[in-house]
Amino acid sequence: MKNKTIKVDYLARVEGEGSLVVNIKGNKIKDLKFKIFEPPRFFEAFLIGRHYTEVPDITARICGICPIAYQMSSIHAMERIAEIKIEGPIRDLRRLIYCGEWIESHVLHIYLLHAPDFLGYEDALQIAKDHPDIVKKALELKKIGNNIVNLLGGREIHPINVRVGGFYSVPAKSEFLLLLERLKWARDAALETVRWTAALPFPEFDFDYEFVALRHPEEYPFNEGRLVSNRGLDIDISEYENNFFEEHVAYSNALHSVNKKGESYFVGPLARFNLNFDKLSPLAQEISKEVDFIPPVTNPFKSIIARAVETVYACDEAIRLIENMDWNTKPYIEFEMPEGTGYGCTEAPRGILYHRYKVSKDGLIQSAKIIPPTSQNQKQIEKDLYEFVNKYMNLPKNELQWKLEQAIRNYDPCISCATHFLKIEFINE
Amino acid sequence: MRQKIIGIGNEFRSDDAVGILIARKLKEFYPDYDIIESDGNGIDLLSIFQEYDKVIIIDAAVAEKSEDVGQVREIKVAQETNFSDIKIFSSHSFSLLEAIKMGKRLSILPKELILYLILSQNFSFGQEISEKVKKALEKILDIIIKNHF
Repeated sequence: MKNKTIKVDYLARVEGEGSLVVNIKGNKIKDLKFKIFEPPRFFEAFLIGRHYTEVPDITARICGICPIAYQMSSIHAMERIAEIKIEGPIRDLRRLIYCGEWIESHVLHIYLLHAPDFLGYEDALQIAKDHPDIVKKALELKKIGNNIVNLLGGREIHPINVRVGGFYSVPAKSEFLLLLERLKWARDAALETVRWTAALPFPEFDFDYEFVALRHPEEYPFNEGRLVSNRGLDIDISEYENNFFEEHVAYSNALHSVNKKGESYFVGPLARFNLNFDKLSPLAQEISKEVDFIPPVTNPFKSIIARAVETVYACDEAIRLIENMDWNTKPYIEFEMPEGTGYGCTEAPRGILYHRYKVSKDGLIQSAKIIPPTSQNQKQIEKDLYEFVNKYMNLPKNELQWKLEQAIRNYDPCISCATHFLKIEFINE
Repeated sequence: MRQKIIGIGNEFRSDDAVGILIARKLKEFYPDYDIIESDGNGIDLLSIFQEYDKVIIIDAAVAEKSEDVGQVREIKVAQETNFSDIKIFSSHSFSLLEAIKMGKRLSILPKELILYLILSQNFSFGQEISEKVKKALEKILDIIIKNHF
């Protein structure tokens, strides 16, 4: 049998450095590895010795797309040490800024990174050629998310306005009211987005996943909740490291996360949707039912619909928050910081983001642990690829390769930093 | 006329910081002007393109030959401008060049879009800027102040 090698040297719609090698011998997968060779960034190490108040601004730099999640997980960890509970308007403003981040991130992925796969385009530039109105709508929608983050985050990139205990300052009410009308337009555009994504062609591919997400008794989760799964997990976030473990694999610079049984699990919009459908706003539930997108959804390619439903929710929730906000609030609460260990876990656009910090009596960081959603999904991505190749081995080579790249993007992986390469190498023996 | 100046880069990637540093300096001189730092996320740039009549962008570009390091290229972007010989260093999958291509396709580019690209070679982790790029930084500051303020 002839050896065959296929290489894709540039996959433009994944952030970070990664590659995939598939080695098929006869009709069997001999080897399949999803490799991340992004250089380690040592954030956990260089947080050590810094003052706890600096942490949110440092962790925000880990990701240009979801800095708010990195800030919020660290802030919640610190507030847990200080034993303070943020309630009322400050808590609402935190939910509001999270809405902005979800809108920005989800719209970018739906329209510009993932949709080209479904529509048979190489990239979003080609979509713009045939369907300029779709891309224009996406840009407008995303911009509203940006506006919310900019307003509350204090500047256009690398937000700096959130702090342990609240915000450094709260913008004027009038600035938010200006956003309201546009948010109502955005909510309608997001509803259309759900209908549009639900009509895309999906490969038949269902799988028995363990979905893991936060769950809060009263609301769809952003910042708080218990960690739950569809297989009975129900723990406080401080129990995270007793239930999930990181494994080093020789071919990847990102650690693989596994559950207690050593198995992969699935975090992100589809996990949240499946585990928290009842907490979505009535409108978001209604549109899901309209397009027959009802949990449990076990086809990872349909994550794009979950992102769209969450965009509806984020717009709806942002409108509710702005309309009901009590603007006469002090931006933060005062507190004393004792020594101790704190845990934070929030729902970044791509899934749960876990932080743990140990703080000394001088307020200095003694140890830090950060587990981003992409590293938690990594093993699951690899497993999906394995199952997909097994099921669709006989697809024409180009089509199989296309679908494998699409399968990786189901998870919106943010391999992050530096250049962005995904080399795919098929070895057909 | 609405004008915005954008310095693009990563201040922890050696010469890639040059755009950010120029924006910072300009902001120091002209605190009331619309000048921002950007990490070069193309989608966000597109939103800016839609809202302004004139946008000036400063960014580092990859020099193919070491003797080109420190050279400055000024490009007035028009519908027919071709970018095939320009490489931008970007951590984003949708970078400045994609944003310009997309902006052309959607006909949403500002009336005037001017790029100042500083040819550079060192994009490794670090905060040191090459001597030649430092000189280019001064030169661009002069040009921008003379022509756009």
